[in-house]
Amino acid sequence: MKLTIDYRMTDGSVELGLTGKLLLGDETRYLGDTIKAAVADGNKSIVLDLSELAYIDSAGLGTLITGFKTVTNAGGDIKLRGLNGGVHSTLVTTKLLTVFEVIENPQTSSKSTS
Amino acid sequence: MRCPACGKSLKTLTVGGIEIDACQGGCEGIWLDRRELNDKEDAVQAFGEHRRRQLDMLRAREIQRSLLPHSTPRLNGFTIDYECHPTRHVGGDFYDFLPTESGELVGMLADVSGKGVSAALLAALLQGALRMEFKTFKSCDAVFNRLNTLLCDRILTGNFVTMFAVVLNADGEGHYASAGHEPAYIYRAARGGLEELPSTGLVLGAFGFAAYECSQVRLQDGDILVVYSDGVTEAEGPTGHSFGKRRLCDLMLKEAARGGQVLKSRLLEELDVFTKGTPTPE
Repeated sequence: MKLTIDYRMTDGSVELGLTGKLLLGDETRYLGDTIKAAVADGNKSIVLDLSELAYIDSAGLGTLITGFKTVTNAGGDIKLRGLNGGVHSTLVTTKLLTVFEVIENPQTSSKSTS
Repeated sequence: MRCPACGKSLKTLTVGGIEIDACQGGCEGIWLDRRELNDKEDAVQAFGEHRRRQLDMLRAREIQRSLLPHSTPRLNGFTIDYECHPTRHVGGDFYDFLPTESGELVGMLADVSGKGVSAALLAALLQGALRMEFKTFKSCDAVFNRLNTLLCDRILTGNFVTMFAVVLNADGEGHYASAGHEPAYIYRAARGGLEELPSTGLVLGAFGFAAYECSQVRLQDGDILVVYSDGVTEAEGPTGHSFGKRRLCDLMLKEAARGGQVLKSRLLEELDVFTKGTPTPE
């Protein structure tokens, strides 16, 4: 798999640090399942840290959209942080940055999965 | 192991993918396990199924190709050129042209998220809907707003469409809308520079609240409008790097003065050299 997810618990929110490539297949399933599980555990605030995400394809964007709906339909919110060049450019082009809130300043401490 | 017929020794051979035990004693007996025959039969059936699927995909490709324009559209004073290289049997990219009753030409390029048959089916639905909508509504924003509603109702969560559409008259005046699509470019012949036509709205089919707007566009003598899908900018070379917008823009600045057809040929050559046969993701 070309994606790892660092699952961090912070004050009142879950932060998912994505490293690698978010592509159609195992990677998108993995992120989708992780977000669903976080919501099922009762977490209302989810932050996706994309600072180590090297590439995202259209299925990856679709997973972000699905994640947005999963979280907001459950009454929560989902935010993005650490947008880098290529991923940032894709989110600008698709106008998804008009939907997602982008935040700065990472907080840490956590467990890692892959 | 001995030959059940003559009691002489047996030699194991593989013939046509099946393991047999051949008698070495002269009775010419050949012995085999029935299970092996069943396995072989399953393999033949699986091959037949694989072959049928391949034929289905080839037919699907032909149908999808038949949905693309069969002849070059005309708009007085303009030269129109286009190219499509699917990297799979079927996919979610398509382009189309539609002349309006008032003499304008609608040009559109769409990219359905995902790959393969599911993307192709959605592309076919979208293409049909686009032709219907542009016959009724003359502005891209009205069409995009209606399409977004349709797609939000019909497609699975997570699927979406990026699309660029432009309506032009013979004087080069018109408007465009872009739903999260790669920026188009106009090469301005008078100054030898590029003008970017950025996305004007969210991707289609993802959010029911999305609202679309159009922007005015005017082409002058010698100008070239270049519209493409991310299959160009995301084409990968052997090192894993993408072709990218910078290369595309540099090429346009270098070659566009020689005309649209030369520019297209040069772009295809550059992509070929850059990718060196590396499979393109889209």
